[in-house]
Amino acid sequence: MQMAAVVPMTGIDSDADEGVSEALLVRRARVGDLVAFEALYRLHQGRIYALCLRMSGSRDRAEDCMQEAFVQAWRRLPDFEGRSAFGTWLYRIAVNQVLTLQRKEGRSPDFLEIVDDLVAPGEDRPGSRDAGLAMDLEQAIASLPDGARNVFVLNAVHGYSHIEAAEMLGVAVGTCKAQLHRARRLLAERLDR
Amino acid sequence: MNEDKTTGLETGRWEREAARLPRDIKPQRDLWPDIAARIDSRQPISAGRRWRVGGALAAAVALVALSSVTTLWMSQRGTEAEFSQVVPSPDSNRSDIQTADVQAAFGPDHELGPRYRLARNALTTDLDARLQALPPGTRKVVEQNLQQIRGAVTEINQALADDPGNALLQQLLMATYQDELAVLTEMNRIARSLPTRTEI
Repeated sequence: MQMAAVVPMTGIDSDADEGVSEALLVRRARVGDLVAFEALYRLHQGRIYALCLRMSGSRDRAEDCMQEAFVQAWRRLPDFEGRSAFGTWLYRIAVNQVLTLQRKEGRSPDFLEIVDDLVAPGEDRPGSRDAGLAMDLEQAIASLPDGARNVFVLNAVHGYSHIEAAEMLGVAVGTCKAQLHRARRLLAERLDR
Repeated sequence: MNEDKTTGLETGRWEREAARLPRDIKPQRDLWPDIAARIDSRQPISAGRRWRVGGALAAAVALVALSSVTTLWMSQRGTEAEFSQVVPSPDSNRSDIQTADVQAAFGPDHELGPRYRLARNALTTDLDARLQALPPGTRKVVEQNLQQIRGAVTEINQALADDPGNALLQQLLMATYQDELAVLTEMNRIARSLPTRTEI
């Protein structure tokens, strides 16, 4: 998955469209530049939060996972070798945080919280379709079993391939495909009937 | 259309719908202050991790360069013919350029302060002379490191030209200038510490 090459600084002080490259920010952050790391946070926070929210099924857990993911990313930055995109590397860390949480605590998703976040003003994509359909789908995704939901979120929502999703989740590609099939079937059962 | 053979349900539809869900959702509150606090409280992996502690980049780059210089020097020490071609005698009477207390500071239009510019120019001139005395491999490493920092300076300056009031860019530029100065200082120190022909 390709991430933006240029980082607009809109999240900090300016509405300017111009900015420095993500690669430069990563280089700066690797050697301890917290300002550069904040810029990276601003750039990726939306995607990481969306991932954590859908996978964890709770706003509080999503916030915990996201915070932990960025703290871990900061600590591991010196080991980041740039073999994958920074965003992909960050996603992996976030996914690990969610998986750790799922193993530790089990899960009790709060569907209303998720839907509440998802329909927050200004978050809709341009040209988005019926919000009710999206809410139903989000609720149905949140109700899936952990394994099926994790794969579905990574693969169907966030666009990762089976190989990438399997690697992030630490499962075989075949398992990933099976879980996706299961998720499809469960969603169809819950939404089409 | 994907149909589940056991249930007869069309299963692909929701996958397609899911692909249209927003992939970017802003948290309801800004989590950065908490993250920054945790990063601060944990302390960095190495001393001077944050940019405010000037010279972090210099330390990293200088370590790479120092390591390379040392490795090259050690590998070439036994090869006098190759090593003796350059390396002038270090000027033992010459006092080191004092740069540790020189801070990068902006004047109008992001012009660097005069003390900083003087120190930078002196170090650059000094280093340019000393670079010629280094073995080619070592010189290349040093030049690449400096080139990387100067590339960053150029990139940030270009962004600043379009957005002069951006505080983050200003901080990044300041830190990068400071790093450049620290690297120049460290490179000079390393270059001066290399053995001369008569010492080999």
